[in-house]
Amino acid sequence: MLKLYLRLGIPTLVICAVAAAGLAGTYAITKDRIAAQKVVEQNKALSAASPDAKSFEQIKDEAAMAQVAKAAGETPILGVFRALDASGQGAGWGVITTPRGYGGPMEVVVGLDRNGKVTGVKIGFNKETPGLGTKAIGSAGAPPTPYLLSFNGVDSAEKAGKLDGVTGATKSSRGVKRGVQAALNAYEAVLKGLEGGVSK
Amino acid sequence: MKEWLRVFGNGLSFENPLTVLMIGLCSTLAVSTKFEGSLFMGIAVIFVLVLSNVLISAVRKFTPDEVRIPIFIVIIASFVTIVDLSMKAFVPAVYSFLGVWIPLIVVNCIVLGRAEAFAYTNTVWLSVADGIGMGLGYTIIIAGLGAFRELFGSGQLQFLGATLVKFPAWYAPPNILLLFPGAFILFGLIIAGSHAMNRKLAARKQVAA
Repeated sequence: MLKLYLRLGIPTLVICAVAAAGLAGTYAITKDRIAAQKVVEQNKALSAASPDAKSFEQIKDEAAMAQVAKAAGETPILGVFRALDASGQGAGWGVITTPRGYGGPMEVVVGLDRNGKVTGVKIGFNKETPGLGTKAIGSAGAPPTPYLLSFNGVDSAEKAGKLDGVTGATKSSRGVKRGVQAALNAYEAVLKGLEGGVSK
Repeated sequence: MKEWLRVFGNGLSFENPLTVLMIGLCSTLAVSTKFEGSLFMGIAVIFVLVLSNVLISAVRKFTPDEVRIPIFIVIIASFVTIVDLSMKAFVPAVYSFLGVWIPLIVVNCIVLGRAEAFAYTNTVWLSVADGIGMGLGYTIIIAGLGAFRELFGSGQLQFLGATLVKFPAWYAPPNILLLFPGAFILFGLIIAGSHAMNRKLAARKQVAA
């Protein structure tokens, strides 16, 4: 019996060990680049949503983030960022939300100014249907759709809820709307009370 | 060498994984909305297929029959993860387009199928031929389908950020090409074409023999 275990176990063990070593090596090489890419990607989306901001600083205060998550309700919030202008003063907020669209979760980045007005909505990763869902959310590289632009200047979740969705892209529209509402609710409940955006 | 070429050519024609063996279709139908993404998907599959074929063939003498499937999966999954991490690091735009389809190469029937049906019973040298042939057979069709769907479905063809072809504004692209029904219809036509080609090739072979 022991012989059988060894006969089957040793080759499997050797191959798994070699595979693990190969993966560890690849991970070590690519780890830093992947992290850097992620930051670049995130900053690009945040800048598109808050055109006036020069840089962003993530809110790391766990208590505040817990409140944000509570205010956002069912919509998950990936991160909240303080938007800083050229002189390092707080210019507003960037909120990354992941509401559900038609094709599963999609990334909706919402830019808010200091007074909680939407400055822009940018859609990141998504699996919405090309030609249908993209009528609401647009496609990568293309200018923002009229639907996304219609959120600009909106300052309450209630007002955002009243905007018309796009025909043929009902679920995608609803997803975007939920993302914006979550961001506005988070502002109302938490961000408004945080230090006016001045970098700590 | 003759045998090597025969095995290599089989992947492209008589045993083409997509049009004849009909495996690996999910990724083909789902990914082929863009030329660039399809091409990188094909390259990723070639990479995984060749390396896993080589390694599985190299260790086939030490692999006990009873645990061969777990060993295949470990080897395949490792190469797929290497591709996954590398693409994430070096071509993030393509990676975000392909998304979940890269990790799903692990369960792509072509890779596991070739491991079991070919690499496990053949030499390393022939397994390379099989890997490249099968991989190219997959890539040519998925990239062709991707190019066609992107060009006629969105009116332009892009590669690495540059627009290669753009139709004038009066061309209203039919959405169906980018949706799944379009993929099925086009793929059916490709199968028909490829079978017609294979029949001609077979006839010529018979004459030669």
